[in-house]
Amino acid sequence: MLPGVIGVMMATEAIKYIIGIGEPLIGRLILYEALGMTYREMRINRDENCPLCGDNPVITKLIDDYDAAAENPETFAPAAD
Amino acid sequence: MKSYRQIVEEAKTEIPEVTVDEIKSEQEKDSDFVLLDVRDEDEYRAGYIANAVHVTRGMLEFSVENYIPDRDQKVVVYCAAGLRSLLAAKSLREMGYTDTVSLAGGYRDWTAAGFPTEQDKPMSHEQLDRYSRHFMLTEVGEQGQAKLLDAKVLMVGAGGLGSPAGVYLGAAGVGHMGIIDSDVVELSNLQRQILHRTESVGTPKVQSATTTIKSLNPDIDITPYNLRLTADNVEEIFSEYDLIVDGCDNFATRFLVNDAAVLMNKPIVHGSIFQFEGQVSLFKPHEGPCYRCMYPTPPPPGLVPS
Repeated sequence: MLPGVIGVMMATEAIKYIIGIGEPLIGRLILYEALGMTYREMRINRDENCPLCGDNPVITKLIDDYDAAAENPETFAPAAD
Repeated sequence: MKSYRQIVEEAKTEIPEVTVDEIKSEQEKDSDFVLLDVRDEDEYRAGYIANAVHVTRGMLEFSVENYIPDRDQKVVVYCAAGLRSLLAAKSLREMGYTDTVSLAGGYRDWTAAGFPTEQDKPMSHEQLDRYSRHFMLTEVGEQGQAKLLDAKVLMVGAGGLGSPAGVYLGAAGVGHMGIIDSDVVELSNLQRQILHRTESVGTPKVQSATTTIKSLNPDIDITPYNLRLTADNVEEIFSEYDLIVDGCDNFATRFLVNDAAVLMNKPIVHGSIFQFEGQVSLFKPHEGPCYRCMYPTPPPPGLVPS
């Protein structure tokens, strides 16, 4: 049942975004927990040091093999040249 | 008792009228005003002045605030020939709008002057019926539906999250959907992956998903990609879509989706679940965080629940 709740929230966000109505979840993370039936909202900020979307990104192209990198997390964020 | 002529004459004493030429030149000067079209749905459907806000005369008092919250905003009201707009502008004044004027001659004079108009892609009778409940939502309306029908959305994954998302996006009339997944349907999927049926076990998930969504809504196009998203194919596939709905189930794909979307400036609707917990967000590159802002790298493999 949980994926139903989350998947429908995703569809809702997609439709809001396409039509351009309401408050999009940009910068907000919704956390839902089914056993306690709790629903929390967390502020999330863009990290200016993010290796991908930060002010000085070090990831400027895709990694060759994401499956291999997932096995070896250090390779996910290549060091700056 | 008043005749309609008396009512109109009274309104004329209160509401200034402007000509189509005046409004055209105000538009060209980028003046700050809102054009409000108060005609009926079928008149609006046949064409309207660009950027006009549409609220029918009948719904005016109920929903105008949703569109024009600032009561000091200058509002130029128009209808077909300039009578309903006078009455509408008068109603707006009664609601506290301070700067309302009526377009003399209305849409008739606007088109007669040869000024440009726009028209939404006409919807079929079946579409008008199928999506009629959306039209009752003033925030959606026919214009919102037209945006949905024009939208190109890629669903990454046709599993637990992709199922409900795909069902609702398809039913709502998202006109162009891509679905990418390399799995086949297994019996153990069916307890939650509602896109798939018992008779689909053993067939590709994208095929089963396409069949289900098309049976809900044959009005939309679906492109199935029966393959795994990789660094080699992601750019070609993403380039066809405006929005990515990420319902994947592994870190390799989630980071790939995130990296490609940021590099290509595509927004992602993010969702993930683990046991009884789930999370949702919208990652719009550079306007908010991306997945890597939260998790620069995936957790070590030993810690990843499978």
